Amino acid sequence: MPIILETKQITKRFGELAAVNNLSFDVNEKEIFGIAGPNGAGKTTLFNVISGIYSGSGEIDYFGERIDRLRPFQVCLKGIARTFQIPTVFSTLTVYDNIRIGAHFGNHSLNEKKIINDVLEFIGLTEKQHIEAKHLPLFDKKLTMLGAALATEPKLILLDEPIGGLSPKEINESVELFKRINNELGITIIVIEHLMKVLMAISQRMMIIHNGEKICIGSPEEVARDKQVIEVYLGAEYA
Amino acid sequence: MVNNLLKNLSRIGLLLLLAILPILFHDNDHIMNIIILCLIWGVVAASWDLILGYANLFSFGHLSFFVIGGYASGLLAKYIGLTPWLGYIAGGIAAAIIGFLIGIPCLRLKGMYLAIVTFSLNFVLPTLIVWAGPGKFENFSTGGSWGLTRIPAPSLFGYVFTRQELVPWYYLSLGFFIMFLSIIYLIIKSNIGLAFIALRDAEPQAKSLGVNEYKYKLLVFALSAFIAGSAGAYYASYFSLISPASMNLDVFLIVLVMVLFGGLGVFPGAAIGAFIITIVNELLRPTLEWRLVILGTIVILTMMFMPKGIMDILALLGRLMKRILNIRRSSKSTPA
Ligand SMILES: Nc1ncnc2c1ncn2[C@@H]1O[C@H](COP(=O)(O)OP(=O)(O)O)[C@@H](O)[C@H]1O
Ligand SMILES: [Mg+2]
Repeated sequence: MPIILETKQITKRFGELAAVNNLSFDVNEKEIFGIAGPNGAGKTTLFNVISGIYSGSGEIDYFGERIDRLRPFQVCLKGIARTFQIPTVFSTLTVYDNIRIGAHFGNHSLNEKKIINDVLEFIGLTEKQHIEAKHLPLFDKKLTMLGAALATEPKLILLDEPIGGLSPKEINESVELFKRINNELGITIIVIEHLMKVLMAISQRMMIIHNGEKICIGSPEEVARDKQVIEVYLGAEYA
Repeated sequence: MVNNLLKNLSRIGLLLLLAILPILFHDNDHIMNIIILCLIWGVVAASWDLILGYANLFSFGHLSFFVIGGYASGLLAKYIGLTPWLGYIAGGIAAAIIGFLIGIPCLRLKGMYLAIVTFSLNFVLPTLIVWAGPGKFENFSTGGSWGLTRIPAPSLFGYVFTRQELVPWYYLSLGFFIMFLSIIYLIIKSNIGLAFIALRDAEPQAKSLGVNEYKYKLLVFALSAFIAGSAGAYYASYFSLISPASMNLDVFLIVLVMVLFGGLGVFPGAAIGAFIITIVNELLRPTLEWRLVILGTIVILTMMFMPKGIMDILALLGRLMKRILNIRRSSKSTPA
């Protein structure tokens, strides 16, 4: 599998604190790559650096091309979309117009309407397309945010704790959706998730970070056996 | 259904009312003048709302663009002989260029900082205008603190607009108002407006979805400044005068009250606010300096109890009307 994303020694500091510290890893095309780590480990900051919201040091290559100096909208136009840990939607706009933002600004395709309708269909919100986003329940907000990202027709999507706060039923639906995004749409996924069981079930490979540093990377089985991971993250129950 | 019908009826009614207003007031210059001012300030307030309410950028120097438009067109008319019609466009362009330039350092500023930087224009510009007064430049003198006087009025098919006949001015102002409000409405509904709203509602998400925030922030600075500048040019040709006093602090406050009272980001709230506040401001004239206190109180009460301003009241009235209509209908259909 060719490499879609390669980070080389990226670091992001907030004053004294190195929220992301000298982090290097590769993501293969078409895989689901899981990221886990304790609260405050630097996972969200990593996404913010990749997507251009923060600028850090180090190098980020996307299909071999440097993207670490690009602004967020340029990163998006390259084909990298993302969702946010705290679900954000354009609250005064309808679901349709939320998706339209991605389809219009993040996508050079001329067939905006078809993309929006396809996305609505895919995330199952066709019926609710005329509702103002601020009136949506949490799950639908998350779907809308995901839909807007999908409407940019990305090759790589970054999902930041996408199932946090959801019911078991909604979690199952989400996981199915992520698998379809990966299988049917052929989109590479990097997903941050707290629930190790879910993450291990969907990831081909995963990385554990702690204090901004990589402590382990590999298949779910390898990660689950790693001594350091058990120590700092998984705790006694896995030992 | 009922909602749409009501909306369309009230729109048609409003337009009819605006069209026949001069029949009622044509011989009262004082009232005609106030109505014309309502239309001009309606455009200014709506253009300010574009950047303040829709793009959510705390641009507090908006009246500078109004004044720049007035001076640009006035100077070009007096010293180069540009017709006022082209002056309205030139005033808009001059203001848009300045708006664009001011937008550049403001790109990275947010909230309070943006407010302070843009607010300082209210002090910088009058100083520059007075400095460029008589004796400084032979041609192109701004007229100093007296202002630029004897700015020519437009003419149409040989008819020269004059302050002696306000009915023609009224219809011209109405056309001006309808044109710019339509333009603002089209901007809001276009993909440009979509970008403004996206950046307002959730900036990081908008950026990550491909919205180039610098481009749209500069665009909203330029567009809103263009409309304010054009309104300034129009205002200058109507009064044949533009002066630094046009951006005095009390004018700034009153226009801000218009926008806030009309409701931020709820088109055409700002324009409606301009109508009401222009008239209230006129009625309050006898109260002298208490006027600003009263207007300030209106703003505080508005912000506390109806954050969407007058649009909250209109929505309430709309619901009430609907209920009354529904009650009528159901009492008709169910036999007593
Ligand atoms: N904008 C910021 N300014 C200062 N510190 C920050 C900022 N964003 C994150 N941090 C700090 O960086 C560390 C990593 O945060 P984050 O990336 O959100 O962790 P995670 O997503 O893994 O829970 C935390 O200690 C957090 O307090
Ligand atoms: Mg996080």
